[in-house]
Amino acid sequence: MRLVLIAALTLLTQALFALVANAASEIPSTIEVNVFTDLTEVNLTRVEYDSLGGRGREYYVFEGRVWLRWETDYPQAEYNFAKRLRQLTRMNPAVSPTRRRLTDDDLGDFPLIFMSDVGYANFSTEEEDALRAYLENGGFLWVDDFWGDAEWASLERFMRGVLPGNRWREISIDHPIFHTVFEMEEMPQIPAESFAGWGGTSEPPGAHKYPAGSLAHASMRGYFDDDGRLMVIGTHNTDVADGWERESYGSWYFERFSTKSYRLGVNVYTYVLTH
Amino acid sequence: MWFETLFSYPADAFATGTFLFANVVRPLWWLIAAGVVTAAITGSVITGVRTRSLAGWQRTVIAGLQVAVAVGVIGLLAGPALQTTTLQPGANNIAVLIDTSGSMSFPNTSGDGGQTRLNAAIDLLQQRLTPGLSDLAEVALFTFNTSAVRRTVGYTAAHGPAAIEPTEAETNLIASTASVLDSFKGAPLAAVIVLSDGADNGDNSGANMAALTAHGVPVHTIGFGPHLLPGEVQLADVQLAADAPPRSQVTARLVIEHTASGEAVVRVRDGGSLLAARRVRLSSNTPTVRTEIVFDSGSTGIRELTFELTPPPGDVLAENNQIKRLLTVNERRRRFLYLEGEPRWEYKFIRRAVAGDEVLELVSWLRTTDRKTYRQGVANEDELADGFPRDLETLYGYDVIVLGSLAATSFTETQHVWLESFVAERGGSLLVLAGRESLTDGGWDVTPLAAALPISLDRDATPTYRPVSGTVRPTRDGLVSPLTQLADVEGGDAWATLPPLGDYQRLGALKPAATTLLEVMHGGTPSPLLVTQPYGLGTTAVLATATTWRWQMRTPPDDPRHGLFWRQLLRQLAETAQRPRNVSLTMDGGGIVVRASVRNKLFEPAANVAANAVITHPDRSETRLNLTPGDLPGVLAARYVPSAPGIYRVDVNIEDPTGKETITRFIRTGAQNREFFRPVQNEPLLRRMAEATGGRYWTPDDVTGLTAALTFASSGIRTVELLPLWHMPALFGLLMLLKLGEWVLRRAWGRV
Repeated sequence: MRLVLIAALTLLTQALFALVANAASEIPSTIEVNVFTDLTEVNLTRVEYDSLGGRGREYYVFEGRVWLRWETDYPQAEYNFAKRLRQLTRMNPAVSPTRRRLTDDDLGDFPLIFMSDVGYANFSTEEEDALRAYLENGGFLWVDDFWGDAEWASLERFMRGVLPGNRWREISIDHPIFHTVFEMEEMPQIPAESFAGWGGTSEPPGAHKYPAGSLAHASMRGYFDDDGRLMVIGTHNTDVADGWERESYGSWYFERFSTKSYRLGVNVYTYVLTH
Repeated sequence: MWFETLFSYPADAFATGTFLFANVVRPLWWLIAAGVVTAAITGSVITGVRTRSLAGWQRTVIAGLQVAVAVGVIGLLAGPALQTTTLQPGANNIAVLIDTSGSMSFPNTSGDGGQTRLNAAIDLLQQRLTPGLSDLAEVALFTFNTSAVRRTVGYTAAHGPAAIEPTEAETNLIASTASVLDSFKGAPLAAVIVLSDGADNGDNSGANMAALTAHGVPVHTIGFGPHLLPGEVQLADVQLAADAPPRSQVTARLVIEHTASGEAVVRVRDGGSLLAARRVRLSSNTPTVRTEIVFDSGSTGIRELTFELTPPPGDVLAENNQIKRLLTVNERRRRFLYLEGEPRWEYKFIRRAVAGDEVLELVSWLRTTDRKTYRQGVANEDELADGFPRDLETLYGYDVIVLGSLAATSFTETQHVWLESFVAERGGSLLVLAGRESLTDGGWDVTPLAAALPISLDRDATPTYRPVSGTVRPTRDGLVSPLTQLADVEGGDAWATLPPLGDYQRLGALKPAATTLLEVMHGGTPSPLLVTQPYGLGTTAVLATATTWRWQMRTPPDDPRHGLFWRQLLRQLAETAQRPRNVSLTMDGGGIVVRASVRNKLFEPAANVAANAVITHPDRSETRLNLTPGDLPGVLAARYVPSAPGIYRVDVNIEDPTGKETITRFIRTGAQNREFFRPVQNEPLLRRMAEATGGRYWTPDDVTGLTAALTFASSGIRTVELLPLWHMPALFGLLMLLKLGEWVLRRAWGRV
């Protein structure tokens, strides 16, 4: 009887999974948002990459749609951030964001690229080579929304292939990147809006790749070139882009988290545009 | 000769003399007599039987001719004469200068071989000039090259000079002549006669010529040597900055003079290393060709560069195809101020391009928000604390200003005036980049700077800045301009293989002095991209793009072109900027002229300046001399005659109220004989010299009038003479013609 019950539950689970999967396939995973690249503007560019592991790892389902890992917060985060950049600074950001793979020929037209949720990312050798050339030319990579030790290890493994021999370094709060426009006193920890309601600033370890380790403190880590210039930053144990994306999800989230996300975003973009 | 036959005296007598009637004591009686004769003749003709049948006008003609003859006869009876002055024989000196410089050893004519110019001059003096001159005055013979020397041995009044040998020395024509004039101060000197080819290596500027004129003695010049050497090609001049930053592109401007046609090659060498080469097309239509050659300055130190010209076949003199120049390569920092109105990629990549540059020191000011700015590269907390230099002195401390996408309203009215004067009066360089708020789109058309820019800023209803793809190519000027050199990266394709730009700012009409160095192709149509012009003491430039960063991001990481472009552009703009203290060394008639120009922080000629120079000889011994104020305010100068050829180091110590500075320059003396350059006769100089002093230019074939010119000239000790004219053949001929004309008319009208 118990075996029958287990078998029935298994079949039911598979059926539900198939149903969700079919439904997900009918939802477009991305929105085509930019058809013309205006180089007189500052384009907000999201890196599109592959992940491994199937549901929950390679992709996830949230608010009625399937999200590939690279799509996390995209494109609403960029839409909102562009709008705020225009309001708060003299930058001239493109209204619509752009997305590119690392191997795209015109990656160089976007000197700052943004990557999110890289815990399950699977990069090819070609992508490593392309990113290396991009960084050596003066391009800049910002990796956001990856939490815990395992997801950091995933990025670090990738960066070892991109920049062999180069080690990440902690970027302390007195670094100019925290002070270009807004004076910041700490590296902000921004949780996804769905976790922010719990009262804290962190996210639960179970929501991230195992073994997650401690998720208590946010940090910015960076890779520098031979001349001491920043090439890559990782905003670890924080989800800065969620602060942009979810700015309108209640005033408490905006006031507590989005403002910090914008302050950091403005500082980082200004820093990259000046160094 | 014909003139003297007809008029009894040389033309110079008429040119210098005063006409008078020697027998006329009471002019009234002579006039009455002339009137009576005229009336009698007229009445006789009108009422005479033999002319009564003629028409009125015919009688008038006959009467007119008869009156003219009668008046002519009366005039002769009145004793026409010229009152003039002539040299008093034996009481004067005439200085004769023979040029013995190197070029006088060249053939006197353009064919191979033949007589040298010096021998032709000696022959002329011996055979045709000496007898006549000796009758007029005491002849003092001088030879000259770099200076004049009196020759007392080997000269006879009867036969002129003997045993004058040619030298290889250079020519200092004006100074040598002036020294001869000086040597006759207090002694009667009627004239100076210079026998030369005019191939001068000294200072023959207007000031020196004026000093010659001041003596009041006519200088007559006799020119030797051909005016043209067919097939001759020479590297006439090389203009090169005294110093340059290390590893920068240096431009030398070359002048080639020729009478050939074909292809020549110019090369620059540093010792045995070839730095650059360039082909030059010579056409018979353009006897003077100006060209430029660009080469790398190399590392820090002194370079002795050799500029060589390989001419087409048929060149006459090989010795004038090479010029040596010294170039001091030093790391002198130049400051440039980049003012940007919005965070954008061009700003980032320009900063990266010049980061670590040995020469360029970048200070940037960026408006990040409407109320906040971001400063980079500032020397201290105060620098640019107010967003714009607080005073003119601080602004003038920069060599180059780059204006980004920044509206004109970002600055006050005073700051706009300062920006214009930064170029016009300080002599700085200003570069404007394209952008949403640049040029017309930024309202700059109503600012003082609009007058300084190389393009017109015409208010346009539509934005001039837009995203558009276009490829860049250099213009003909851009190919040789030091601002736009990428050639040593990928040869001729360096520009063609650059990624296209992604924007363009439409420019107004180019101003007359503007030069387009780069243009961008939009659908096969070129538009100006990089335009420059001199303005006041400085330079302005407009770069109609802000997406050169693509040249960095869309090329392989080891491609240096983006950095090279920006470093080169900004370095050269910095190089053209004026310096408050500057020292130049030039050679003048065998001497080194040290000139120091000193300006204060407002770039006005400095007052209370002291300067001295320490000259280190090739043998390491030293000479010290003080520089004294020159003709121009803020300029001090001194002259030093080196004792031996070689490289001389000159350390000029300048002290003004703002501080002290030592500027070091190098110069090579005696590196090559300049006599081989411009080997043809310099007739214009000889003419200028003669005309400036009241003398005349003569050719060796026609010096017959020289003696007369000296006789009737106004200098020297002279006597007054009255020269009768009644026996002048021309007058008798005229009277005969009048009578003959009357007779012919009477015959024709049947009333003889």
